[in-house]
Amino acid sequence: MSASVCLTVYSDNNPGLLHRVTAVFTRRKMNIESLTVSDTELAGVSRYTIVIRSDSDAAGKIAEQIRKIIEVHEVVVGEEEAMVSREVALVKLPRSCSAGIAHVVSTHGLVLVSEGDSVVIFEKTGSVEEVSDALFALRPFGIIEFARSGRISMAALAERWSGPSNDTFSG
Amino acid sequence: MKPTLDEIVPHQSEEITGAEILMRSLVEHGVDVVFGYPGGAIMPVYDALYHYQDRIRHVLVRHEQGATHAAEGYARVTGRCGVALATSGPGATNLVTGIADALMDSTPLVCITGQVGRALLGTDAFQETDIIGVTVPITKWNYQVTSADEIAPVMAKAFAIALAGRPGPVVVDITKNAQLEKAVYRRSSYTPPLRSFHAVPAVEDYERAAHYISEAKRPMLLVGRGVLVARAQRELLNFAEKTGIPVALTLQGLSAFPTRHPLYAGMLGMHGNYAPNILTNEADLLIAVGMRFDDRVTGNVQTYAKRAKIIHIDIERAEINKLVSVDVGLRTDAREGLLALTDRVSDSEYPEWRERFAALYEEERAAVISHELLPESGGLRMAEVIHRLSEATAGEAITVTDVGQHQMATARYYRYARTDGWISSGGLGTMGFGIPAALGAAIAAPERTVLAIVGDGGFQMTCQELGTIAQEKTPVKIVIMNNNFLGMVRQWQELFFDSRYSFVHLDNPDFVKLSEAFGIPARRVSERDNLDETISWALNIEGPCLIEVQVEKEENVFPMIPAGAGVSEIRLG
Ligand SMILES: Cc1ncc(C[n+]2csc(CCOP(=O)(O)OP(=O)(O)O)c2C)c(N)n1
Repeated sequence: MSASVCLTVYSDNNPGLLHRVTAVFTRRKMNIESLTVSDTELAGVSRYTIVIRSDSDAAGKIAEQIRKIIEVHEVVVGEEEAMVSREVALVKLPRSCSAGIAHVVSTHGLVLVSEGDSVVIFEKTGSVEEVSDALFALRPFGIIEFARSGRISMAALAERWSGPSNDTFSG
Repeated sequence: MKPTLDEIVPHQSEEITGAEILMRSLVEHGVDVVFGYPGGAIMPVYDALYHYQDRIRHVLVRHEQGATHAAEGYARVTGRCGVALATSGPGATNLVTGIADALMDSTPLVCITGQVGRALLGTDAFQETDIIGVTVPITKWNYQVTSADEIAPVMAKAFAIALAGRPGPVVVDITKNAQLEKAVYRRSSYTPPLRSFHAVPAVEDYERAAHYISEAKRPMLLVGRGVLVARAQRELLNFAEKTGIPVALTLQGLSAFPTRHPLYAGMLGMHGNYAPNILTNEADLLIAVGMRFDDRVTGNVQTYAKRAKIIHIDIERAEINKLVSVDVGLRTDAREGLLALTDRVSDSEYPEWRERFAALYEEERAAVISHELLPESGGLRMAEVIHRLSEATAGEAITVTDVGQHQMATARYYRYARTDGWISSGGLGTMGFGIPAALGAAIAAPERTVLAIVGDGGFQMTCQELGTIAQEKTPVKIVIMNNNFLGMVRQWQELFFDSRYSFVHLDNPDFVKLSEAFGIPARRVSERDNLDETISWALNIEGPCLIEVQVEKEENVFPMIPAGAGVSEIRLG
């Protein structure tokens, strides 16, 4: 029944809109698993990637409620399988661990992004599962802290939302 | 005083204060009345208003909640935006109930609040409340203005959004510096994007709907406030008369169809009529127009209308398939939808089906209505008071109600001759709505009789607005149904909590003296024999007046669908 569903929301870039979008979920006591906001290829248009656990009927209704928000142009509901998703994680480890870590670095495609006197930071980019796997593999080396970005997603199809309509209200 | 050329066509380069820009915007958007209350953070606006008194009538309410309800009453009569004005902090938070009410009942409001200066935002300054944050879930749109040059375009956007598609409330919060600073006034217009508000259903959908209509043996129209908002009463009448389909109204759709019309099937929902509720579950086709399948209409939705195909016309896409899955969703304005369907259907009649309505009406009449309207003994009953008011006004009045038993009595027993007589708080069920909303309605329609029908409980939530009514000399005819109880709650306690009357008894003030203290003439009536005379006194007196009707203390409103039950489980007693 309940699966990960990704809502992509295209909106004007306005302060306060994030509150309005998230309020739609809070009011229904729905947990947001991940949320990222970025700009898009269209000037002035923001893109929200929101991942929730939900059945598709409920997700469709949530999308309708988000569409009611004035500055929202479109909401696209994507089932997890139809989407390409990526997430980034940064992981801080003690420098002293480095000895045995080479294998993990190469199998998980980690990138060393910072090297200090006592700590190192690796970056992992990949699907949600790949990021989780990498973190799991790094656990024995004594993770000091890690941060995950939350995912961004894109439909694998060629079609995309084409931008705000130029037609205007006539009534 | 004639306006000067400069006032009509201001110099393009002339700099004026943000507060004056606001005034010009209001005038440009056709605002002739605002309901408001001043305070520190909105004082520059009030100063500008002082110079615009000849163009904008300001009604000084006694509490900001009253401003929003009065603006709602005004908007519901005119179809234009109601405007409420308040200061920051407590002034703004006092608007909240009215804003929430307007969202639920799709009433266009523009609420303008003052805010502390931009430099003080977020510092817990005196009377600083984040009213934008507070009103996010109860507005269609809101926006904080922090510079004078934003005011004209934001006001244009505010009015357009409040009215477009499904109307609703917007809040514009204006920091004090923006009111004081100067900018050039530029006429602005804003056209909301088509995507949000306008849609033309596909021809195939109309054809499918018409096909279902042609096949139906037991069709029923379910009509809500969307028809009143779209001013589609005539189109509804034409469609109903052409197809011969019985018309049932939701609480907020009341008066959209004349009560005495032979196709009128009564009111739907919890305290609606027997026939349309029962027959919802026998119908093979429901045509829902501008209504949203509220839980008070559907009862238990699991058992709702299982035999029927459903056609749903609504301007709000999110309403279609929200609670009830439909067979055809026509996302459009009620008027356009009804016109398009009327063209595609043929004349028909459903004599046997209509017999079912008539027979069930007779059952309700025998079990409930006859006793309500013509009681043989006991105190006055709300229903007979409404009936007498209805007769005395020939069904022509605008009835503005509060919330409770008297509201349901009005809904059930006022016989609307005009298709725009009902104003009530339906979605939010806001006690305290009646008096200020009647004030706003009467200001909007000075030529109409406006009855404010309220309970003794709800009256006392906003009775300070008697001061406004007296000051404005607004001819509202107030009828208090005094049962010394929070009647509707008492009814539930009697029926569902074994008559444990938990804090529902009211020791009331002398309402007649109270009214007279405000300078509003008042009378009390408790005898059946004096009822007509008191009503005619009220209707003939010039200006506002108040009648306190002492009614039976423990009467119950029936029929009733118990909470959680299905529509066909409606009880007659
Ligand atoms: C602001 C608010 N508070 C509480 C309620 C719950 N409520 C609904 S009806 C009702 C009783 C109303 O009593 P009264 O105004 O005397 O009218 P009556 O039912 O007796 O006609 C109450 C308390 C409400 N609807 N609104």
